[in-house]
Amino acid sequence: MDQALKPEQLYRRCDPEQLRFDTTAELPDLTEIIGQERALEALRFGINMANSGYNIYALGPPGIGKHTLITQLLAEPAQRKHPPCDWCYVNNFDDPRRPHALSLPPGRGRTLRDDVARLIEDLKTAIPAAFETDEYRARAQELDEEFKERQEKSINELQNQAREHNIDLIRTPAGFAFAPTHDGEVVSPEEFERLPKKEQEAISERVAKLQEKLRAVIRQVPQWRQESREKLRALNREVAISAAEHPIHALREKYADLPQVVAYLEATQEDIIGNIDDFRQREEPQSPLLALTGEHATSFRRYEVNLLVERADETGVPVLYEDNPTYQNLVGRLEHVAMMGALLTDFTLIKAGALHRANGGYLLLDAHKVLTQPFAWEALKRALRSRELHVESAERLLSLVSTVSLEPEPIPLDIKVVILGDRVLYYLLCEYDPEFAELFKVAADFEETLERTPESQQHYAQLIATMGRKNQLTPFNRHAVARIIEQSSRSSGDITKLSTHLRGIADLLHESDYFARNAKAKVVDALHVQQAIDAQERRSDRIKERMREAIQRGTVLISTDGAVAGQVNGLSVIELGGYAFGIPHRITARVRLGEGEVIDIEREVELGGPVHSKGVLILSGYLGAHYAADLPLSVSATLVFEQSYGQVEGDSASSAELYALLSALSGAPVKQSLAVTGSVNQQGEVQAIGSVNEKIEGFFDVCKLRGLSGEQGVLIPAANVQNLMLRRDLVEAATQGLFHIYPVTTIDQGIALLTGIPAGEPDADGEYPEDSINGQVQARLKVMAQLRQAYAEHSKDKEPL
Amino acid sequence: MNDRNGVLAIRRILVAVDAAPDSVAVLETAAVIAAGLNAELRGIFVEDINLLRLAGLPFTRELAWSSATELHLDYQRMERVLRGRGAHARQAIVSVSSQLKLHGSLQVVRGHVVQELLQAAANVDLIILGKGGRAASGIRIGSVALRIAQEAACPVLLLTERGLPHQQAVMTTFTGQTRDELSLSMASRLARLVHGGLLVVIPAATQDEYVRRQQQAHDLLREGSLSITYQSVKTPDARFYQRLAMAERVGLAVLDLKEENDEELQNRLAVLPCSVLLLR
Repeated sequence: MDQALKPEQLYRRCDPEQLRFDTTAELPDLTEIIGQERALEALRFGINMANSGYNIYALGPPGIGKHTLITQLLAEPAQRKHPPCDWCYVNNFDDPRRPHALSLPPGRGRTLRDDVARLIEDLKTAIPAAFETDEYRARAQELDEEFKERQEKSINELQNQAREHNIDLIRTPAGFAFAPTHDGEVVSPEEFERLPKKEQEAISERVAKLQEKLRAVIRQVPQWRQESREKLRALNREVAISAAEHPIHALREKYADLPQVVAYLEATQEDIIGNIDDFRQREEPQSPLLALTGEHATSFRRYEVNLLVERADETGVPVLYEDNPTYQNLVGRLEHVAMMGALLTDFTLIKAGALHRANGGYLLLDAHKVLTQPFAWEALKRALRSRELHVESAERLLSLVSTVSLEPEPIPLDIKVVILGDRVLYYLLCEYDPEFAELFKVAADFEETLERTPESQQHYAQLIATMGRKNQLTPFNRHAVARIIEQSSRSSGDITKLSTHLRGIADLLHESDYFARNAKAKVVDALHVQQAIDAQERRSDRIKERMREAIQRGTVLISTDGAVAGQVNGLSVIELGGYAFGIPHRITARVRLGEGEVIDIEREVELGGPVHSKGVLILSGYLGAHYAADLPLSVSATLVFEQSYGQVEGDSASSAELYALLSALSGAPVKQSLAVTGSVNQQGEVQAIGSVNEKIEGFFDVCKLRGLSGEQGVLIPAANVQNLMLRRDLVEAATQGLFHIYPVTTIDQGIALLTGIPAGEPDADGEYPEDSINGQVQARLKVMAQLRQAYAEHSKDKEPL
Repeated sequence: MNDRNGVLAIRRILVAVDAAPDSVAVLETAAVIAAGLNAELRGIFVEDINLLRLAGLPFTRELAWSSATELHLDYQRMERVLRGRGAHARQAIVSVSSQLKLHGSLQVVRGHVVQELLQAAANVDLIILGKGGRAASGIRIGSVALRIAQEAACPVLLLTERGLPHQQAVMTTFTGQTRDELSLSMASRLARLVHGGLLVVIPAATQDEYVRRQQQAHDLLREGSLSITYQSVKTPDARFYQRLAMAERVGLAVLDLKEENDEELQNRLAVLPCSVLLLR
């Protein structure tokens, strides 16, 4: 069988001699990024594009190195820029529900916070001290004495007036009363009775008048007291201003270049003077209830500065990756404290989110994470669209609870967001989220493969060296590197490509290093790499082994020798948890007289997917056009995947089904030592399929278990030859002539290989040679057409008139 | 009343309890002093005959100080009120005496307040009574207090509504005369009693005189543990004492009544914002 592929076509080796080093220890670090030119171009564009909306979505499968590459790429432009400003939240003394946001040059946020804290601490001693001075005490007591003097004077005046008429002002248990006196003694009622009526009346009248005057005096007292209090208040204010003015003025000078801060300090000063008693009462023992509520402590909280974002020790703008992008972790949170059963908050409990911390710089997020967190995606978009950061608690957003809450002043947002995610999410977002395209205008699409050339192989070696050094692995020698390159080529599914899946490479490096260390080797050799690859496979091949065992025992019927008509070995691939393996399947076909339909049993029982059904339907097209262009296609065929109890999808078995059908029609037996893969079109051309390596190996393993006869092999689409990176033992068997891979471009070619009978070329009339497969099929179809016609006429005759 | 060491011996203290509710505070302070000086406490409550007479007059009305409302007065009510106050005072003196473990008693008499008090004061070493009129009325020296201050033969302690505040200074004047030594020793005893400082005002025309008098005072107050401040002044007047008392937080001023006339005394007592002990 000279059409079989040569062993070197089955596996594209990487020649270690081409690699110009002994071990990776000699290689310099890889500074450039290989194989991601498109993504790099997009990222550079996105990073340098200052306009809003030019946020980036980096698309590619997980583990391809998006994060590493982007971080590496952002490092330099981030360092080049000046650090953004510090942000603080401070009390809004006019409306505490709406705290003010202050921006300060980097590092000065902390200074302000400490300065204000020190100011308040200082005032807590300076203000009571100002009220302890002799001067204040004397002035306060003077005011008190003044008030008393005023009262005494008016009472004394009244008393003097009374005495002129021998009447005295007498203190009584509850107040005062006037009584006529005689020699300093109150006139007794008996004496009074003895007085002439006229005099009695005069005395009563005078007493009544004096009482009226006394009443007027008493009524004046609260007003005097009020005046006295006002004066005391003014004095207190004066003392407070003198105590607080100097330290606050010094701060205002210090922050004179920041008008916002100066305004805040002025408001603070006003508030301190207005609440001077808070500072004076410091020493007073707290009532236990007051201590419980923390009321006393909170009164000074309003002077705190909540340093939300600090950039003191930073150079450049931040590059931040938020690993857990919940709503609150993104836009910040409003914390609450429980106090006597109520939830309270204030501006000191505003906490920064990732957007605050990355403001002015770059924020990296995982698409999947941000999309699965409730409200996070909407909040992110809202922030990017409005270019402002509002801190709002999620409960409030949902109106779930209505505790005391805040509406902090929004902070302007200037940020570039880079979202990392897989392609599906990107395309779904483009399709279903109208805002997405506006906000994420740059797509950085990561390649999964790169061209395999001597240069790129050398770069790959350098990449291995760099990763090895970074992770402190044993150096790899060139044989090991060559083996890794080959494996990378295989996992890319193309002999002309290398995989850019960095996590896969890193895993293989670590595992090879493990085996080398176990063997106490100084360098990692190809052997260790192979051990790692085998171990990887071994760890995941339990199901594969169980299925092989079922075939070996005859539970699943697969023939690997002999020849049977209407029966072909098809190949399928099972992918479980990232591990794929091939397994042979028996495909059978049966034909009988009918109306030209090909019945796919998988489809009838709804075990076949749409692509599979499509492949089967193509078969009837092929049959009709090829053999019965001018005859009614009078065959009814049934196709089945024997012993398949699950879903079948894909059209890679359609060529096998067609071979089974042709064999059934022609009666020519098919060699069971061969297996088939490849899809077919209506013209009879065999088309490429996926996972060709796994499929071939699936059949090879079954044959190997039973003993290789030298006849066995697999028919593959010729287009898949470039994907061949077969396992070493298989290549070995092929070299020894024990196993064969046949590239096939047409059905005719394939059926000839399977039956050992030429397919046959049609002559000018479209007739095939009688002894060819095509000829036999054509003859059978003709017979069937005639039969059907005969039946049709027979039944017409019988029809009653 | 001087013993041979120039120290005032106080064995019996008379405290005047009147109808005003704040006189209980006076009583308590008096009890503390009595306990501190190891003296007997005699209380006296005078049912003011003038009040009873007043209540009997047909036209009189009581004008309440706090609300300026007019209250009806009659003899029975006044008698009832006075009796109640007396009982209250008795109860207070019994309870405070047992608390402080001192010998206390209360005498209730009916008559003219000043006369009854002066009569009772004849047999005691110190009389204690409230200084002011009604606390809120602004009258800084009551008429009874003034008359007792002028007429009593024994030392008089006039207490403000704050009593003898704890840890506040005791102020006295020292001119170097022998009789001032008595004031100085009494002031230092009371300063220890209230755990306050001692403020000694030294009137002196020259610096030399001041230094001499200060040294003299210092020698007299040999015993330590007392915080003493000296204040020099050329010619002290009532206003000076007032300002000093305010600035230095003086709780008690000890005055020696020399040749001051009644009017001067009234003025001094009125302007001093603290309790006053008058010695003779």
